[in-house]
Amino acid sequence: MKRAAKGHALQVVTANALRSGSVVFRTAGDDWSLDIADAVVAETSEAGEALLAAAMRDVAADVVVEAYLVDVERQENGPRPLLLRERIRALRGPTITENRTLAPAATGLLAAAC
Amino acid sequence: MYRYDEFDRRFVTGRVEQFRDQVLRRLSGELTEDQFKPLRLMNGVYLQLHAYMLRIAIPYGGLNAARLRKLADIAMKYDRGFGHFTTRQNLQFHWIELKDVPQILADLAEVEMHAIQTSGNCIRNVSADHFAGAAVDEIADPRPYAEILRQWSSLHPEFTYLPRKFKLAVSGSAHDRAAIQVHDIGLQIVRNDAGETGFTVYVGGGLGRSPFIGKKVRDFLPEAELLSYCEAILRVYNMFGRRDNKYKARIKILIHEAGVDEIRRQVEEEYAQIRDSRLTLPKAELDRIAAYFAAPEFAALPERSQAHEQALAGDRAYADWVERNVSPHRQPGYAIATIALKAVGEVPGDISADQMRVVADIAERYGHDEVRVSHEQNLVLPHLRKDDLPQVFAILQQAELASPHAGLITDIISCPGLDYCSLANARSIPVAQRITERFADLKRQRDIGDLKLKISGCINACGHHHVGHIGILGVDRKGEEFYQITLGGSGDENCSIGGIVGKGFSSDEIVDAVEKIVDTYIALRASPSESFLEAFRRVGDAPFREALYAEAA
Repeated sequence: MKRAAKGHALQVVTANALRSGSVVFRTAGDDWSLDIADAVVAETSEAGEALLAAAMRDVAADVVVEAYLVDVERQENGPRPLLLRERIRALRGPTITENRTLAPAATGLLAAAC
Repeated sequence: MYRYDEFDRRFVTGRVEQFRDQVLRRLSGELTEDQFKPLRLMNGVYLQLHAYMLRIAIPYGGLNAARLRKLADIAMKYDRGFGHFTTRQNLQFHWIELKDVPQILADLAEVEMHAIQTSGNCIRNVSADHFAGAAVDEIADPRPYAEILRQWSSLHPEFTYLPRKFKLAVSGSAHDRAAIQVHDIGLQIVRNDAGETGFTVYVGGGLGRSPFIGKKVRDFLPEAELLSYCEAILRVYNMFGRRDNKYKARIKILIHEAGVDEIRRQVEEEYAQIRDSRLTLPKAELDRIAAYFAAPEFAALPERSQAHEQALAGDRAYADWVERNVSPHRQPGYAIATIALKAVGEVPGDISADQMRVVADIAERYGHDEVRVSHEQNLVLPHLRKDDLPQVFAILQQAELASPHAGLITDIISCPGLDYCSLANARSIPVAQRITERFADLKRQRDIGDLKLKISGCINACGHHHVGHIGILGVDRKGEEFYQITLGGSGDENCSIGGIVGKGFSSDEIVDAVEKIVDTYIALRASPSESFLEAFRRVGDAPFREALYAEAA
């Protein structure tokens, strides 16, 4: 995967919420959002480190766990991670349809048989 | 099925309360993540890509209606209405919130289930043949031994901090359906010339980044010595297994580095010290445990069933299902049914809460209240009357659980891969789905015949790709998903590790590559009855390599 031009990628900070485990992104208001579109984008490595340092205070405060920087590129609808792994995390779910479609209950047949 | 005694109950409910307190202390900040992580792992709680995942132990894959219904309730109340069966015969929930875990564990304890030792460097869930107690070729039921091993290994103080995880499997038939030779200890039940029951013991098998077939260390271990010998093996491993490098910490590496003869010598030496100790299994205790697994009260039935034969003659869909998904039972008039959880486009091993309830209802009404999870991520109804099979099929059909492809190319083992797993390098499930779509035509699948295709999304090999007749390993190549193909692996009694056939394929190319391999096999097989694996073993990988890479060369 190509990094951003001139050697340094744009970055956002991600983590997982302690209670729910949900993927979250650090926002400009020093808060966390489930939506990567709300993430604050660090444009320099210094800004990235500062963003992570601030996020680590929420790790220490037991709000989130496993905070780290993610390389992104800017797109119309918000930051887009460069790595597939991070793009999937930002989706808030898998790339496939989960088997939640509840099967038509077969209880009718079973009741008839009992 | 084994039922908890007072000790088991106290132990499991005690652990639930202990973990409830630990979660509260974590949420209040009293425990740090570093302090808490080992505690949550000991209770089966992982942090995956999107959420916490809870892995629930299903000892030797044994379920009943009450357990399945409880899992369905948990899926609906705390998860997203489905569960995922794994290659260790366990069940994983992918969308659990940490705050809910203590209550989930309390709910599980009501049906004698837990998540203890489903993670961490300890002895994991003991797996066994999913046809146990029903198979026609069974020498003895492996479940009582698996249960004895479970009791021995649960919170064993000496083996709670092993160099790395440790997996045992037991097969009661000469045809190995439990992949015992790719386990840290594989136990094959045998009878000696005197008619006594015992075990052929394999040690040091395993998949992952360094796959090895287990080495035979004992031809015949008397059954009473089961625990003494396993304890001797674990002691040698615990003492000498490497702790400096987690990738070299499994017993397979110890055996590879020290040599099987040296390890056998050390094990035998340790065994000689402890063999007549408290670990010798008294016959009465063996019998007591075996009684929990006594066969249900089968009716005296003729081998042939009119209802079954009429349905076979009149219903093509039923006949197709019976051909692949129904296996002979040791009791006349009975059969074993496999519920394949890999219908076209589905996620291998996934099952919705409603489907769990349907299977529970069938088990209760028709199946002596027994359901098994297979390491191939399917469910098994082990004790059905042939007379009831048409009705069971009709119910499964309505629940979208009657896919007639057990053991065919679309009966794929697949790990969750990069869609869920934080260790994965590439996605597995979409590849599995595209293969099931490409080979959706049942006539074509049946023409191809027995073919085990297994997919892992990283080198940890949870999808058992090394022992797939066709194995697919997802890798990350410069940020892109790539898929390496191995051919000729097998997890049964003629165990083999598949060999890499050549350079990998992109996500766009991988399904075509699989099809090319299959077409090559069809063209070269000696007869339609020569299976893919037999043909591969006869001709080697050259024709496949040529078919895959000739144009590029």
